[in-house]
Amino acid sequence: MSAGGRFSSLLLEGLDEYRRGNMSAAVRAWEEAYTLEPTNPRAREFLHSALERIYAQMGVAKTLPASRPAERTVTTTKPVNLPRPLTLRASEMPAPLPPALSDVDMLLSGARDLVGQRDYDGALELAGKVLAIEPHNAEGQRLLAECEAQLTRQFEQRLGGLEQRPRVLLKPDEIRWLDLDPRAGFVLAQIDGAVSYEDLYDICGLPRLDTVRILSQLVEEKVVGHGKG
Amino acid sequence: MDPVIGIDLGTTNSVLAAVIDGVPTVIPNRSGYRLTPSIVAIAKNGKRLVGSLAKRQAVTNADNTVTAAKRLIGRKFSQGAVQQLLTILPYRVVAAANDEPRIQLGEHGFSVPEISAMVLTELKLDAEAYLQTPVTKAVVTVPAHFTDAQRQATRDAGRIAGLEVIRIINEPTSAALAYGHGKPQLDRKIAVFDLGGGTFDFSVLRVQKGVFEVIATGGDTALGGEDFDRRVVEWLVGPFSKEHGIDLRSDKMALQRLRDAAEKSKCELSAVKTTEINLPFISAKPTTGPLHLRSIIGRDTLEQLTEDLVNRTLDVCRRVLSEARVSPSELEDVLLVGGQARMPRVQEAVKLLFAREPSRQVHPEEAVALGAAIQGAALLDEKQEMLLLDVTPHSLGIEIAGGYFQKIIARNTTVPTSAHHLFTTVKDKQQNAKITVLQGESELAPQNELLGEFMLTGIRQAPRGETEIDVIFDISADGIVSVSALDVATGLRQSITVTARAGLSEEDVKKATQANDDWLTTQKTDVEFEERKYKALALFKQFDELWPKLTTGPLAESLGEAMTRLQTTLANARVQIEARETQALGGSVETLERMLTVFRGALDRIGAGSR
Repeated sequence: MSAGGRFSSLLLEGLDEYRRGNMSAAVRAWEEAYTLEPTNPRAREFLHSALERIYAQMGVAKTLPASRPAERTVTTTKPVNLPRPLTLRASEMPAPLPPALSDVDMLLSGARDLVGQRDYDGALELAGKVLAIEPHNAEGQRLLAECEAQLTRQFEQRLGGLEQRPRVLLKPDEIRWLDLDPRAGFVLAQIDGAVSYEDLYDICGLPRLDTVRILSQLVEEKVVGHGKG
Repeated sequence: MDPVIGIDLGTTNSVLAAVIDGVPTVIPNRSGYRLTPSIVAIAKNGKRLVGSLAKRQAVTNADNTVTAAKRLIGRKFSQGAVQQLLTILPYRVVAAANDEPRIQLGEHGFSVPEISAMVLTELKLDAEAYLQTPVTKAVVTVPAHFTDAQRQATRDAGRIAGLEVIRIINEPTSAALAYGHGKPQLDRKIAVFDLGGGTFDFSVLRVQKGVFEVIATGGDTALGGEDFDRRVVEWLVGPFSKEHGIDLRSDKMALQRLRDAAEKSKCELSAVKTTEINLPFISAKPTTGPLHLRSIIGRDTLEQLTEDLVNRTLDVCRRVLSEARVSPSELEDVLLVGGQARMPRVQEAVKLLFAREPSRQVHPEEAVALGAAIQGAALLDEKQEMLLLDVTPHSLGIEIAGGYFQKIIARNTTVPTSAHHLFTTVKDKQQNAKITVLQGESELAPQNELLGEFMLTGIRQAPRGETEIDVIFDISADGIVSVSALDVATGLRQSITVTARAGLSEEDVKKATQANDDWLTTQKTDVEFEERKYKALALFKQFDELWPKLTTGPLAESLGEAMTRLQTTLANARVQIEARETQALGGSVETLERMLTVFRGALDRIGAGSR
């Protein structure tokens, strides 16, 4: 996995833990993300939010000091489930920290960041989480639509023309050795060499992105193709 | 001469035919299939689907997929038959102001003729693609038991689809037409055993030197091939449920696959003794992972599963024969019609009942459409001497004093026909008489179907019983009913052509026709756009491949201005695709095609190779 990919994945992992209330695990993930990309403000913002929560639980100072001594170790006065002391260098944190972000704001800023890095899968996940909390959040909807469009385009490019009529390249007996879920099994069952990719969108009834993701995977794994079966 | 198409507008499948160079020919649809499922859907992505694509998503998108619209056509929402249907139909049907059923698809409500028109539009487009000429005339078949309202509504559906329905004929008659085609001297009493996808009809006809007369007809509107499929589905899900504790019927995707597989295996078992049903990844359990369904089904199993269904068809045959006072031995041929009639067990049962081999002279799934095409050609060709004599499937009459029903034309009367009955006034100085036209067999007026009503006003004033009113019924060859009432003394006359009370008004039909035309225009534009888009995408790819040779090779310098133009055109084409600008995109594609030829020629000339 590329450094950018690892960063995104750590950001997502941290968000998951944060939303589950596992602050220490969130801190661990974001700290690692921060180490990977110290100039990216997002990991720092997220770290700040997680630490805010920890401190609130412990009843200690609610905000971190805006500026710090050259090197400072944040330690706790009460036992908490932190994996290790968190060390932050002042040189790496020149700007004062913003106020802690709400769940939705955190997710949105994470999604925007990931879109900037073209990690549309990650951003889609975050946008989905935003909409799970606030179904009418306009920014969440916009990000979701953008990610879906981008991912759909990427997967469609892998298929070639949508007018092509794919066929199953494996024998029926070989299909069961694949690693598919029932939805992919359903999409695969619709492929008969007579319907086009575009038709498959219509008949599968799944969201366009889900269908093309499955199709793209099937093509990539040479389960379906355009040659003779 | 404009072509006339014959359309078998079935409950589950439709077939299209035309007489081409004197030969009745089935016209395949644009996907190459000879059957088009009579199914309409609005897919989850908002697209209108008709035919096999609609069928393939029917279970997963059941709310927005209309199957068996034929069961609703020409009926009133409040009718018992419709209310009964509503309990099993997966889509939403609501009542419109005139008691007309409206089918809710997505955000829109459609009348039933509009839905049927979508199927007819698809068939019209198929015919035009095949015949390479506009098609505006059709002969459409309907079940022999269809009421006047149902026939009118079918005709409306044709109009909405841009088809002038020049004749509506009964399905068994149509099958018999295909059977009798080219045999002008044929003189036989025959039966038509029509077991389609959703309905069963049995009719007895006399074919006499080119005259086709339906003697009797009957059927079961809730018995067809789909019932056979369901038995196979049940047979598959039972053991799976026992083994894995999962009822596959509750999973829409699994059920769609099961239905498709059941139908396929059933069809295969008409030709082979056993077949395999293999549905990998049909379900999953967290503990065991993916689950597959694999089973071998034999013809004998299918026959056991469906024995009672076959027996039901035989019961109908016996009833119709008994009503017509015809013994099986009097029949000289039995035509098998409908896809399900291809099942060997059905053929065997028919053979046992009638003590003769069923006729193999007509194709079960195509005979009805071919007959309609033959009738269409005959209607246009005055030289052909072919006469159809159908019967009226229900008695017709009017309501009389006391709420009773006076039959004027009895059931199974050959049409076209005319009959009249003299009535007298029931009140002193009666000036008006309300003529309520009914169809049915009950002696009580309210229990029959109301076809229409009108007032005869200005009747000569006289003591009750003195004024005579002559009520005349006319049924055309299409089965369309006209009724008139005549004050015998004054010659005063009022009449109506019976139009379905729950049917569409002229304005409704016009609106629906316009909407259908608009859809066709949009569809055409969409198809054009997609074609141009695919061309453009292919050109982008070809230019991508040429790019290094064009920008770095010996040609690079001399191409300066042309390259700028190419880049602009490519950029424009991309914008036009995003904005779905069909016309502009067409221009860009043409330019790119020309430039590709020019650039390739140039590269070839300098020996750089363009491929």
